Amino acid sequence: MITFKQVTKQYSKGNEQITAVQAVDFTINKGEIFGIIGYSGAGKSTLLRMINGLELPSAGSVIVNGFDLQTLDPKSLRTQRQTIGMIFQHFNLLWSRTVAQNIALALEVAKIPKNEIQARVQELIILVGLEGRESAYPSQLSGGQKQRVGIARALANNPQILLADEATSALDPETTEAILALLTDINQKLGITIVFITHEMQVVKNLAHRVAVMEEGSVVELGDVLTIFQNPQKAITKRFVGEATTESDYELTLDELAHKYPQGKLWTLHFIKGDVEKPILATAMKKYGVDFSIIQGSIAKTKEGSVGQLTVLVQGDDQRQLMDVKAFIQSQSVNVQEVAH
Amino acid sequence: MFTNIQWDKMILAFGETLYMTVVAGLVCFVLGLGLGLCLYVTDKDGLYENKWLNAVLTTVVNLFRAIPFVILIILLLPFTKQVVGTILGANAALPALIIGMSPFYARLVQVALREVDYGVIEAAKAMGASNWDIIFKVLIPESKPAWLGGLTSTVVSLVGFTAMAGVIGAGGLGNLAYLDGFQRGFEDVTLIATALILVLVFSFQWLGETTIAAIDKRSNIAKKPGQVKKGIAIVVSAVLFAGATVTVIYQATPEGDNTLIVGATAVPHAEILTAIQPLLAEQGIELKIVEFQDYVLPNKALAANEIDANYFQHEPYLTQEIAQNGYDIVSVSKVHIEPMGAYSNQYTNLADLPMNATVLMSNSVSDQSRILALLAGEGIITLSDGVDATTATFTDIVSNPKNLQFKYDIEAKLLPTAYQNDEAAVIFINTNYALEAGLNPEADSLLLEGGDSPYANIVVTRTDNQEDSKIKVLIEALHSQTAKDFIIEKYEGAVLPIE
Repeated sequence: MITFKQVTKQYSKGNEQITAVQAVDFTINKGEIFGIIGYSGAGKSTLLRMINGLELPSAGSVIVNGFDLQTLDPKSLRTQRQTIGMIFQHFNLLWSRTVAQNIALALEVAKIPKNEIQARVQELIILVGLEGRESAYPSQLSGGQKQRVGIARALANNPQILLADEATSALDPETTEAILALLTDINQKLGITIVFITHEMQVVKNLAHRVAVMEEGSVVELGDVLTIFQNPQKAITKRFVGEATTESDYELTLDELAHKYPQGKLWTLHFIKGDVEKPILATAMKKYGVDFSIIQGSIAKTKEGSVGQLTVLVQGDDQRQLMDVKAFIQSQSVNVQEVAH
Repeated sequence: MFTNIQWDKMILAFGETLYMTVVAGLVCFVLGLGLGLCLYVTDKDGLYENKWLNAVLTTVVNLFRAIPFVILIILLLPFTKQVVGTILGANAALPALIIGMSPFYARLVQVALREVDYGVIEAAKAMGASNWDIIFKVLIPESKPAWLGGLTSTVVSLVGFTAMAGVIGAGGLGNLAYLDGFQRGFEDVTLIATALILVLVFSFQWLGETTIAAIDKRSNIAKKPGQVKKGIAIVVSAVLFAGATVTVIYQATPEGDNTLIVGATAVPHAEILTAIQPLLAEQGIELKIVEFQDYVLPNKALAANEIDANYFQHEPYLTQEIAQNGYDIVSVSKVHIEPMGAYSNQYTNLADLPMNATVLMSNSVSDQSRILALLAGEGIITLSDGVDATTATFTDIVSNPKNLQFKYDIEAKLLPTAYQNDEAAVIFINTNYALEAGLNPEADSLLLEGGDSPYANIVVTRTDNQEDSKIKVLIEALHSQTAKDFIIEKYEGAVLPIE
């Protein structure tokens, strides 16, 4: 559907040569929801804009729907763009147009006959749940409603791809959830490929099937969301995954504990899928007579199920007993990792 | 109160101002919007980025904004003649108004367009919009309140500029206030004309603001004008446009074969001409008087066939003008003399002037010759032998026993003010300005030119129409008993008729 082939983007700012995107190489499949996460300046915004030709690569190529956007003449590029919807952090609605007229703009641009526009606009308004607000102006809408208009506008010409540029970053958590639910719904109903960029792992967790992590213009990690969450490889990915805790505090705590309880062991347990609710620790305590002190824990919900993480201090009679406990826990398909210290 | 006001003249002037403002405003709107768009789209990162075109446009815009409006009118005269076919009247003011104000409006449009959020443009691009779509569906509608506000400012400025357009006889309220109000000292005319200008300014301002409030949906605070306000706005626009249209029709009324157009300065020429209008009417000739505020345009207009004759100058000035500009024009009759007078707040006799006294006079070269001849005649200075009294200059002075200091860098019409401010020991003032300033030349002057001076005021025509029968009738009327009686009675000897 979308293939980046050794894509690099450079531009000059004054005398400086800046590399926004560096040799990016991956493919986004038809019908999937693909997230690109990174801090600001990571190049994700530039990468997203190469999908609809708002930015063109300096080297390499971007193939969308079988077309290399760089080779298209301006008119074909505009036609191609009509099959790629886009929504924005700040909605980018026209204040001078009503909700219905804002949605109609995309249809006017696509030269849809006037008499067909009205019916299509009505369909879209129902799709995004804005019935009754057709003649309101953007200034009369809430942020969530504005983004719904943005989504309707982006979907007007039945695109195959929807690009979302930090679409929920300007919204409160509740509204964010509602908009993410709408996007998931649209993906399922219309089979549309969604590519979004964000700096919030929360959004990736709730929305994406697969995710690419970007740092300094490069994709440093890519995979399905569950894998990335369970087993983040790169430091930046770990940071995104463990956003809730501050790493340095956590490390400090572990050092202290190791020092205080030389006999004990520090384990990090990785729970996957449906196992988070099983009373594994309680069972192990009863069965082996060991003590668990919970140091840190987190649970995250992805599209594929819940992912849990628990760091515990285990104290038992001897090393063998602890080995047994470890084997037991692992038999419950919970991954046990010894925390090095 | 208001005894000097001729309401028909006032209404016509109102119509002329309205006409110039509305027509120039509409054209400025179209040109300024186009030019402003070009400036915006060719700018850096614009839809049609073009460094060179942008630099050229910016230069042109800055250039025309920098030229003072009055200078622009004069500079544009040849162009105006080509395009409008005349260099006089409201229509002739239009090119200067339009060329003067369009760049100003273009800048305001550019600023308005820059206010459009880039995100909205990007959204349109992402939709697959063409540049054309972006301009007409996004840029122009999204910047509407800003460029409407700019248009309001432009139109209000235009009202002010139309007053300056009076220089070329464009008429209008500003001109009426200047000629009838200021020059003739009719303060009620100035007052009413100014009040009407204010009415126009406030109407345009209010209309602009009401329209903007009605279309601006950027804020969610409801401030929509009510039905009544909308109604009033529609009525006001209708009246303004109707007024302008009526003036267009009025202006389009062709002049008949029996019309004689004579250019003149306000006092006393235009007044003398007005006095003899009935005499010409008896002969079936409609005498139309075009009043000028300066001494350059009346000859230019005559040579350009805009008027049939003019009556404002004396022989030496005409000679100088013909020599300078090569006009094919000729003096056909001497009508009156306005004696040049010397005035002083400190002395009653020229002989009493102390050493190194300052003598102030106008910056007109022919006036200077005239004054030097007068002083030489009085024995105050001596001019070199054989010099023509009508072309004498300061270098021709061979003896100046009182070592008088001559200052001659002032506009003739400001001389009475200089006299009131006591700027010099002696000030030479042209009689028409002395009269306007309320001086009595007979009683107040130290020295007054005699009736034998070469500075008689003359009627001038082109060589091709000097034999015209209408000109003959005009000359006859100017020398009639009616004219003489009027001059003597009105100006009490300060203006003398010539046989």
